[in-house]
Amino acid sequence: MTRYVARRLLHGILVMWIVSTAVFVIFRLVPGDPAAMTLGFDASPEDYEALREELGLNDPIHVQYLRWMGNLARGDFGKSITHGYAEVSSLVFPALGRTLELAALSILLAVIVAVPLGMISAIREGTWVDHIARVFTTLGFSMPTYVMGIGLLILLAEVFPLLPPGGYVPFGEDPVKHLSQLIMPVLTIASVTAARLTRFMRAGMLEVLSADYVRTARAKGLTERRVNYWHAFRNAAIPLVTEVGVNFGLLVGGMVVIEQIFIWPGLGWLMIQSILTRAFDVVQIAVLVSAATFVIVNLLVDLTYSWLDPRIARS
Amino acid sequence: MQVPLLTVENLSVRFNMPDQVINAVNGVSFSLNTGETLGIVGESGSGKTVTVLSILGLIPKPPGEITGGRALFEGQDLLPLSTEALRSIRGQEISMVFQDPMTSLNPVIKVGEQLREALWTHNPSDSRSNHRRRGVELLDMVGIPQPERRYNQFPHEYSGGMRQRAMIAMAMANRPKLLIADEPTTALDVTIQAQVIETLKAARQETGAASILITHDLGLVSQIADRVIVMYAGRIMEEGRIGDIFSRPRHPYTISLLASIPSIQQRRTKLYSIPGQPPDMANVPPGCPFHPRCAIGGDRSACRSDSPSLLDVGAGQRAACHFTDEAAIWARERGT
Ligand SMILES: Nc1ncnc2c1ncn2[C@@H]1O[C@H](COP(=O)(O)OP(=O)(O)O)[C@@H](O)[C@H]1O
Ligand code: SF4
Ligand SMILES: [Mg+2]
Repeated sequence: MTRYVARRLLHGILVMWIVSTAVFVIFRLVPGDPAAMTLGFDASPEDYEALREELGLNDPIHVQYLRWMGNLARGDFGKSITHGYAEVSSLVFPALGRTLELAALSILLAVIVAVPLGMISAIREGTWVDHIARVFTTLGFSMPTYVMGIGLLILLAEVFPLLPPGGYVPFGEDPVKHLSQLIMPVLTIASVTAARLTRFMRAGMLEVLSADYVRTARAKGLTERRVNYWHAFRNAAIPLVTEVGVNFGLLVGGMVVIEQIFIWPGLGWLMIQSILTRAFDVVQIAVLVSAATFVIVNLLVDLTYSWLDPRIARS
Repeated sequence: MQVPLLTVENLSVRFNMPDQVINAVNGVSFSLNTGETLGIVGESGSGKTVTVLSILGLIPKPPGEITGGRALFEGQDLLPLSTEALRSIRGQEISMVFQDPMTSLNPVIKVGEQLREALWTHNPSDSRSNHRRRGVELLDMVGIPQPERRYNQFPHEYSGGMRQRAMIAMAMANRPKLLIADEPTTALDVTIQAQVIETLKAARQETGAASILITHDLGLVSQIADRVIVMYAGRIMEEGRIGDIFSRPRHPYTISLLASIPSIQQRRTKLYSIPGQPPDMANVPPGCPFHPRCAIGGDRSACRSDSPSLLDVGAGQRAACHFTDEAAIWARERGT
């Protein structure tokens, strides 16, 4: 088990190294260097040269690379010129926190809906419950997130002005407002994710319900409840953990559009804003942090999986 | 005359598949007395498993459908019972050991836990520690070494033979009156098969249970069973006491099966093998289902058009064949 954890950790570190190198390469070698990106095309050659010097862009490339990796390793994400020399980490991490909040609540809601729905529609395959679940999942699958988001916005903020049309107030400042601002983005994301997870849960349950050990459980004289919700569910839940984790990881990196629609200042929103203001020093760290979150989530998922499935834990 | 423990009458089961109907069991009747062992033999697909699963209501419905018959256990018909009513029969009065021990235990639940559950579900008021003690005792009884330690292990830490022993322990946990073993050794190594059979015999002795042993190994049946049923295409072809079936088989299919057992006692030089394939259960030939492969009736019109019924041929032996006398002569000539 420890060896497994060590191997997965090492794997994660390797991925992060590759990602940070890729970010370095992309931001340094594309035409229009960071200094030009920051200043725009109408900057004077003197300003441009001064900024190149300041950013260390005149150093040999390997020196720049080592400095980049060294800073990252020390957790020094630098200062943003565009943001008045604010620490980049003071911009990126609060944004990450807000994105995680949105993603976590959405996943939670999706799981709460999808697990029972998927399970019941598998147990009652072909009945009206199953058909309703199918309509719901098909809708969730076929509707693009932004359509759902804008639709909700029109319905609940325009037609029936029950909720604020987006925005962000910290929880500590105004808890009620904070939560009311969360409702629409969470509903939007959760409905799509819930559709995916319901379908996954249903398929997994159906497979498990026809397994030999489920027949054994019935042959022992166990109640249908115990057979379905203990013997079958425990087996169907293991792959679900992975699916939930993967979906969560995807959400963290894929919130750009939703955060834009609901003006939620998360990581995706910060990325767009930084691109618009040419704050490449923020964008590169935001990309990196987004990737790191994905890697960490997947690591946690793998560890949970191996902990849940006795067959992996021992080998 | 003893009242049988189990009487199956005219059992018919079919599977309604999207594109075809499979008549898996067709009018099967047999009975079993207390303490008796019945063997069911037949090639794969002949309906052996479906027959016994139906008795306990374990056929998946849909696509399965029991289209007729009764299964009287101690006088009570089990077929119309609800799942909830069947619960007190399953695992308590009638238990089953399945064919594949690798897939029959839940992979994510400890073996001891699965064993304890079998005890707990029928005696919920008994204490957890009592169930545990009895569980360890059962593992010990079926010959699992270090039962205390093994109790807390997962199925994947057991060998195939040990898993089947654990299944047997689970099946005998509540001292059932009937123990059904569906090809309990087919999936196991040859070297382990004999040990598992010994364990089964011991379990049967210990509980005094009647048993049904499904197998396609006639040799195994001869060692264990009192009576045997030979099935083909979801029908009973022949039934009788084990000695009678071996010494005076009356059905060409039984004779062919016997002729294909490798055995030293017999003076045959060449092993017989039945020509052709078992029928596709969705397209069973009309008349006698065995006729395309039968050495006697292959081209007789009676065999091709009329399905023979299972009739008494003396001494409690029954056979479903239009030409049992010729079959008996053929058997003698073949030296089976
Ligand atoms: N769950 C099922 N769905 C569809 N057909 C089935 C199912 N179970 C068994 N059958 C069919 O019923 C027939 C008899 O099967 P079975 O009783 O398992 O044979 P045996 O145990 O003698 O090998 C086979 O043709 C098989 O394909
Ligand atoms: S009825 Fe005819 S085909 Fe069938 S077993 Fe007897 S002889 Fe053979
Ligand atoms: Mg079978």
